[in-house]
Amino acid sequence: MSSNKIVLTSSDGESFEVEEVVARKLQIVGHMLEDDCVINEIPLQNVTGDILSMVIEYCKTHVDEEESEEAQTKLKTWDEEFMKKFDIKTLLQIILAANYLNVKGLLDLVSQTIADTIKDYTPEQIREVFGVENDYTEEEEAEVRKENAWAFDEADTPKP
Amino acid sequence: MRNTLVMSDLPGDLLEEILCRVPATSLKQLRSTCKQWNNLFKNGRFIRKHLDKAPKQFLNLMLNESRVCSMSVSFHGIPSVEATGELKLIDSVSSLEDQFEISQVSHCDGLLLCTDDTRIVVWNPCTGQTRWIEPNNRCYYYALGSYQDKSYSNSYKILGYSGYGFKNQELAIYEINSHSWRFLDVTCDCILQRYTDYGVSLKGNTYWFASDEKEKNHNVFLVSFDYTTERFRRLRLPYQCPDYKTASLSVVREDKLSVLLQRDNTSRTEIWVTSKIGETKVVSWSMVLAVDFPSELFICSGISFLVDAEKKVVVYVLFTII
Repeated sequence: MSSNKIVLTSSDGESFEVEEVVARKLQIVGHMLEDDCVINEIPLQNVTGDILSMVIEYCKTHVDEEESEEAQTKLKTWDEEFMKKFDIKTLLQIILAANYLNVKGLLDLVSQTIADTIKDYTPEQIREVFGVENDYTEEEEAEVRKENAWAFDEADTPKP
Repeated sequence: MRNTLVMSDLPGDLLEEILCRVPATSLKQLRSTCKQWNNLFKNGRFIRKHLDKAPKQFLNLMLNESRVCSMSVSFHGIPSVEATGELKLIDSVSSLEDQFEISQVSHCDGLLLCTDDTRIVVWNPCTGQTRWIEPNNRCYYYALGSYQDKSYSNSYKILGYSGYGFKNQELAIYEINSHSWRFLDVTCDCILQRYTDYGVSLKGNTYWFASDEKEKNHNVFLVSFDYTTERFRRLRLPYQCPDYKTASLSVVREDKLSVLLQRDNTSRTEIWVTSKIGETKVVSWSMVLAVDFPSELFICSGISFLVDAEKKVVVYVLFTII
């Protein structure tokens, strides 16, 4: 493996020196390196330093993905612990970064984590977190809520 | 770093990426977030993506006093089966929002097919979507099955049939996409046996117990209807036997069939499970459980049972007569 170092710079000017193999986990970087192999400093416009550092932490851990079951289990546990560190707002920042930087594994991981988090949210909580506007009229909303489904969902919904 | 994130920041494909991983039972609640989400959950592409990515859930449902209920099974102390929550199915023609009185219910891919004497409804209990259908006046029983349409996407058909014990079945098909009934010009060439009230649907087929008078020993076998080819096929049971004291049919984790069989003149009841349906041409049976029931205990016909091979659990509902 090449031990060539690459410097990644965030939108707020923070710089991270990482090995090329780690930087290549960010597919956006991988493509730039293919286009021109002499780059060693890459500015990343759409991601701030604090988020970029988390993406890099993920990429460092996932740099050599072994096939063995043991290694896979270990990685999975690491992923779970890693995700526990973040609140929903940070997770949404990370998913945007993972999408922009094109880190497939992280994108899947964060998507699933957000899905697991919001599954027990009330519509009000969802609207707040996602900044979604309620465009139903009161009647329409009542209509949707009472349609034929889990009649016990209101009483039994675990509160997050 | 900004603390608030607004919807417009999250591109549509990312939102989909998240929402397609939310378990199906939570989707209904999320529908009332906003119109865009509600529409998204009805979108065919989203549904296929959801099927692929969302964690698989197994729901145990039962029919209790004309209502579908979720079922909880307890193994503490005396094992018990209890109806926990009721799923509300509002009658489409009732102005008072009464619930539909279900007399038959069967399922296919998580969809429920419910009927009373006057109407049929295909119901997705997770999203709350319903499709109300006029019954066919020559059919008394209905089964729901999936098939791949010309564009290779999954769709559903309802098979209507006369019932059990008939030599000549009237068969009719209702394609969910076509909104009309048509009669089928095929015969199942056997007699459906009423060990269970309904056929069991799995992977594009519905299965029933059946026998054939033309055959020498009148052995009971399974007959399946393939919703793609619209033809019947036969499947051997683990035994070649003309009658059973009890027989019941069930689906294991959406990929195997299971039968519960008690032969005449024996107290021994056995549960057999097939190899994965659709993976190999020949279906093989393996026995997972054999029990000797005391003679004062009868299993009534029409019993239901569930097998979970991974959890090594068998649940069945039976009546005791002392």
